[in-house]
Formats: sequence, structure tokens, C-alpha cells
Amino acid sequence: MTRGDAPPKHGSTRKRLLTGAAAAGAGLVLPGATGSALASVFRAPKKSGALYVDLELESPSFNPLLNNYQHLRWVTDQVNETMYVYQGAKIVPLLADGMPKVIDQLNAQVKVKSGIKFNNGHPLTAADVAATFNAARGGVAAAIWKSHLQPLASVTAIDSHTVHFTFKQPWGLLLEKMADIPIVPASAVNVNEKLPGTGPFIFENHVQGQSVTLAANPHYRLGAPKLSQIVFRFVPDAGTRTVNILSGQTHVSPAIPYPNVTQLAKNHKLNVYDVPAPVDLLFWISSQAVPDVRARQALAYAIDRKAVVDTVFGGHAEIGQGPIGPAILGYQYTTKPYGPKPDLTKAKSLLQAAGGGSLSFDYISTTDQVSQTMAQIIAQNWQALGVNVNLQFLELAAWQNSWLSGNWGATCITSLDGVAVGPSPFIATATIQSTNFLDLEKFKDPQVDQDLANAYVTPNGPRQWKYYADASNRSATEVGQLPPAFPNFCVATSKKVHGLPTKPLTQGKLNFYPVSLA
Amino acid sequence: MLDGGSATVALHLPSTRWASVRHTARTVAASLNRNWLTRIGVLLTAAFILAALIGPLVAENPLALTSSTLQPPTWAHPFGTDNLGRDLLARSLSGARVSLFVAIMSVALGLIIALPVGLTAGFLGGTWVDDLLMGVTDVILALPLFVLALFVLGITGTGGFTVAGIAFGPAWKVVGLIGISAMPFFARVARAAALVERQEDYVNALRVVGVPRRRIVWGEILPNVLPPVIVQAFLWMAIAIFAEAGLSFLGLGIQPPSPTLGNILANASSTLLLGAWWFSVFPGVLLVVAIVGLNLVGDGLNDLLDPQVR
Repeated sequence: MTRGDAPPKHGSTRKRLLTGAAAAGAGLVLPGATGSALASVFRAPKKSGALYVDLELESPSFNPLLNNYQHLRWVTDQVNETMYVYQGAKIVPLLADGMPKVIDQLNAQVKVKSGIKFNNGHPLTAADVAATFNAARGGVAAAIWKSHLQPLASVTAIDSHTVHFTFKQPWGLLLEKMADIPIVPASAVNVNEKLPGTGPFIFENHVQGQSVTLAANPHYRLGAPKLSQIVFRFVPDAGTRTVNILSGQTHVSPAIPYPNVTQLAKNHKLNVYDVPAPVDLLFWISSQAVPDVRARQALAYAIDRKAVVDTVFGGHAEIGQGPIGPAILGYQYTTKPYGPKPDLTKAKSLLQAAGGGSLSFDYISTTDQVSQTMAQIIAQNWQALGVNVNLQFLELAAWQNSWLSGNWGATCITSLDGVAVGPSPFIATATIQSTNFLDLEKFKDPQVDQDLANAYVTPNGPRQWKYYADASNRSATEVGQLPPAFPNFCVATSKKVHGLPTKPLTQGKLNFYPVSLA
Repeated sequence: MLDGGSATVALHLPSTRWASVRHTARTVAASLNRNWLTRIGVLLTAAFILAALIGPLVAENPLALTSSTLQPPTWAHPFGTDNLGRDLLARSLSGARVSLFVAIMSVALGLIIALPVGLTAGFLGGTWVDDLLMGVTDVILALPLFVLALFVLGITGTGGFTVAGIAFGPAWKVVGLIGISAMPFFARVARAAALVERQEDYVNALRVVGVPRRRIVWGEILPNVLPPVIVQAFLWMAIAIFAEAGLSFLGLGIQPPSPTLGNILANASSTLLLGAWWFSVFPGVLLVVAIVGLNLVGDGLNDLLDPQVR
């Protein structure tokens, strides 16, 4: 309409105009409003190549040096790679150029592959590797990695592609530590998120309390991934995660509740992967609270391991016979002193031989369903033996404080250690070493200490695994760390998810590089 | 009668004596019977109390684990079994007993603290004592129960505690938290009723003849303040049962393996997808019976004693 024209005469025309304008405005505004991070994250997955993964917890940091829990590593492993990786029991180069060169017992060198770049375009150099390891052994990440790298004296970049490692003592674990610790740029060792990486995905966005989004790295050296995006959503409630995977709201649900595994496996829209993995059930009976080994053995014989496997893990677990489980290197050398059912006769006679009397101690457990249920079963088993068990359920932070205080008789926590250390027995056996500050159960056995010391100076291979296994077997009979079961790693995926590699699952790892969506 | 040789005075004021309380109680019972909703409430409450008191004596051991996990209701296990094979009927009845215990004790604790506070504030209404006492109750009133519980239990944990060498179980912590949360409500009702009563002629007469204030408050005003307070007590018993279940559901109350209706429901929530409907329905129904019953009784009493409704 021009200025000289008369205004519309009909109210209905104006009404239609206003209605149309309102509709157009709503059409512009509403998608914007619903395109907010909150709403878009919780829409049903689109067919755009974006993979949705539900995680139980949000990590406080997305720097893999500062935290090594699975909830973090499932995200950062898509972005930051390691120098070496496990392929089954073998460790092979990834960012490294060949195997380490051993100069002498206290020195070794590793070459970095040429031509690899971080996703910000900067080349990967030896300086980045040195900075990563120095941060881990004594810098910002020492709280997590120092105990893994104690024998490491120094790490230096002697040229752009050569890293020199010096040890305080002969050390055989360098190769496996280089398979554990992801490499970050030297300039980003203490950055919490959006770290550049050499991996197939780029850290794109993090919405606190909602999700973290990774975008495909089009310049990844092995070719761009098939997925355009991965959206990791934080869904703390196990029931909600199960509903999400059943209803198609999410594509991947790692660590699904064990009681639901069988039901989900029967669903024709889902694939359920149920594999032994290094899911460590760190279960300790305190040598301080129960100093007589016969009393500890009595407690061990009184545990109904089959009930733990069937009731707590829905049958998706193996009976435990020591710290080393079926997915951990060295398992083939483990002995099996304990049966699936409790042997109360033997337990009572051992308790009698230990002097009879009444045992009484605290069993502290975290409040998650697995730990609570297991604690109730084991406490009941011990009460049948005449032991007075005071069960305490504590939130994680309170549990950690209590655990560190050492004022308990028995305790347990679950840890998907394979994500951080692959199938290495290092973490599973660390706490039975009397010189390790994490030996809070005060277990002390010279033979175990010797076996572990031998393992640490022996390179990765059957000889090393045998030392670990001997330590584990001794821990089982002397009752230091003695988990009743080793749960499987159970992952549910939509049938639209293709190409998920299953080998990494045996380490509790998720590799989304080859994955595509139907 | 006045005795010139002493200050002893014998008073006979029928309208303020305990006899009137008994009379009121009989009237209440008769009136309750006339209201069908209240009758339902009485029946539900009686059923819950009976189940809580007698049930655990006749049911199985609520802590006994069996291999029959998550079994639906059968003759052997009328409420089915839980994820550890424990009889749900036994656990629900034990949980009901815990709920009843917490409800009664928390209300009793609330009354023990609130009545002196409310009566004193009401009797001395308008003075700095009234302002101070009501100020303190307002502060407590401003604290939501669950926030208070998080704070207290975060510091002290969910286990038992010892005071002066006497060990108290974890249920007493819940009793204390709910009792303290209930106190302001009772105190305000008591104060309001006391404010009215202190204006009455009989109180003035008692003052004139030199009856000590303490005796006036506890001997004469209290019986007349009790009816509205009792109404609040019934309503708060329902709230206490709900609050205890809520705290246990959140993991802040009484911990497993000791059964409470709340922690049974918390366990049940993870099995709903497995089709174990009995795990949440039966304890849930028991909880509803208790809360609805007590609310209906409280409402009935409220209608009876409210002159406007009458």
C-alpha cells in the first residue's frame, strides 16, 4: 500500500492481516525458542547423523588428564588419543611411530608420528607429549596419575618428534601408561574443556547440567567420521535412561541397570552388548578391623557369591576369586578357592580357630543400587555367621571421606577401570600393595609386595601377567581385596546404530569413529 | 471456701476442669460417627494402626533373603517379594510400624516443645516474650523440612547418635527433624487459642483470687486449648508419615535393610520397567491408607470443633 491509498475498509481483512502476522511471527519465534539447547537436546533423535548417548553423570571437567572416570573418558576418547592402544592383550602404536626404544634400564625414547595435527591445525609434537606426561606425574593432573607414574623421573622432548623418558628405577610399565594417558596440547594441560585433540571428533559445546556435543573432525587423518555429531546427555536416573533407549529417545545407553539387561536384550529394536570388561568391584575387608587372617577367610567363605551374581547383576557377572577378573590380563593364572555358594561350616570353623568371640565392624557402602543391594546380601551372609555388621550407606563424597579415614571393616565401590587403563591389572592390584597409600585396608603381605614389584619392572607380556596373578591369588587366600563378582559391561544401542566396534567394549571403551546411523 | 488462716483457696469452676475434656471427647466421638467421610477415615486409620501393631508380630521376617526374587503375589507371599527375595507383606507391615512410630513420636515431640511456647506466648500476648517466642517459631517455620533434613543429615549422617551416653537409633533423627518442623504449627495454634482464653472471665477471676499464673495456664487454659491442637496433631501425623516416607525415598531417612514405606518405594522405582507392579503398589496403598485416613479424621475433627462450620 502506498501512502496515498485508503486504509483497508473491511475489519475482517485487517483481522486476517493481523492473524497472518501473528502466525508468521509465531512461526519465526517458536522454532527459535524450541531451538534452545534444552529443547533441542531432548527432542527425539533426527536422521541427521547425530548420535545421542545418555550418560549417568556429568564430569566436572572435560580434560582427560584431570579425571579418568568412564563418564569423562567416553566423551574425551573421541577427541584425544593416546600414543599406544590395546588390541586385545597387545599394545600397538597409534600416535607413536613404532615401539619405544629402550636405551638402558633407566632410559627410553619414543618417536611421535609425523604429520599428525590437532583439530585446531597445530601439529602434534614431542613437546605436547612431554607436557602431557609432566602434568600427569607432578603437575596439574598429579592427583589422578601420580601413583601410576611414580618411577618416572623426567620426560623431555629432545627434538620435535622424539620424547625421552628417564626412570628413577627399572620400570616395565611405560608402554601401558602410554596406552592409558591421552595426549593434550602443551598449551591446554590445565584447560577444563574444549581441548584440541587429534581424534575424529571436535569438542563443540557444553551446556552445564544438560549435554556435551562433539562435532565430526573433517580433517581427521584416517578420514572424517560418518557421524556429524555426538550428543552426550546427562541423565542421572537409571530408569529414565532405560525409558529413553526403549522409546528411541537415545541411540546408545552405556552401563544400563543390570536388572534390565535381559529385558532390553529381548527388545527387537535394540542391540545389547553384554561383555566381560574391567569393571572392577573393589571390595575390601580391613586387616585393621579383622587382623586375624582366619577370621577374614571365614568372612570370605561366608559370602554367597552366586546370590550376588544373580540378584545384584542379574546373572551378568562372573564370580570373583581375587582382584583380577576375567577381562583383566593375567586372569588365566588365577586360582579359584571359593565356590559360588557360601561354605558356612568351613567359615565357622575358621572363625572358631581365630579365637571365636564376636566380630563387629562397620560396612560402609555408597548409595547406588548395586552397592546397596550387594551390601545387604553380604551383611546378611555375615550375620548368619554371627558377625555383627553395622551397615552404613553414604553418598559418594561422604563415602570417600570414610574410606580414606580407614575406620571401617568392609567396603566396596565399583569402578570401570578399563576405560582408563584397559585390561591392565595395575589398578585392580594397586591397593593390595602395602606401600601404596590406597592400601586403606592395611593389607600387608611381603609375597604380594614382591610379586607386584616384579610385575612393575617386567614389560607387558605373560611373565608380567603371571606376577600380577600370583599377587591376586595371594590376596584371595590372605583376603585383602576380594570382590565377590566381576560384573559385565552392558551397553544397549538402537538397531539404527551400525558399526560399533565390539573389541573396545571388552575394555569398557566406546569407539564411535566407525559408527553410522541408519 | 476461704480459710482465714491460710492462702489456700478451693475453686470449683466446672467449665474449665478436666471433666469438660472428657465431655468433649464423648461429644467428639458421637459427632464423628455422624459424618460418613470421617467414619471412613477412622476405619482407614484403625486398619493402618492395626496392621502396624499386629502385622509384624504375625508376618515373616522382613529381613530374610530368599532366592525367589521379584515374585508376583502368591498365597505364600500375598504382596509378592522384592528384588532380594524378601517378603513384601512383612516389609510393608514393618515399614508401617516405623511410619506409625515416627508419626506419633514426632507429633509428641512437637507438642512437648510447642505447648509451653504457644501457651506462654498467648498468655503473655503483646509482650516481648510473645514476640521473641513467635520470632523463633517463624524462623523454624521458614525452613522447609527437606532442606533442614539435607543440612542436618549431611553433617551428621543417617546413622544413629548418642546423647549423654544414651544411644538413639536413626529413626530418632527423623523424629527430631519432623518434630521440630511441626512445632511452629502447634505453637501458633496454641498461642491463638490461649490469646482468646486469657480474655475470658474465668481467667480474670482466677487472677483476682491470686491463683499462680502457671496453674492458670496449665490447669485451666490448657484444657481449652487442646481441642484445636489435637486437630492439628492428627493432620500432622499424616504429614509426618508422608515426610518420613519422602525422606526415606530420597535416602535421607532410615536406611536399608530396615524397611520403611519410603525406602521400599525407592527400591521399587527401579523395578517398574521389569513389570514388578506389586513392589510399589502394595506399600503405596498402605501409605495412602494412612495419609488419607488421618487426614479425614483430622478434617472431621476440624469441622466439629470449628464453630463456623458447626
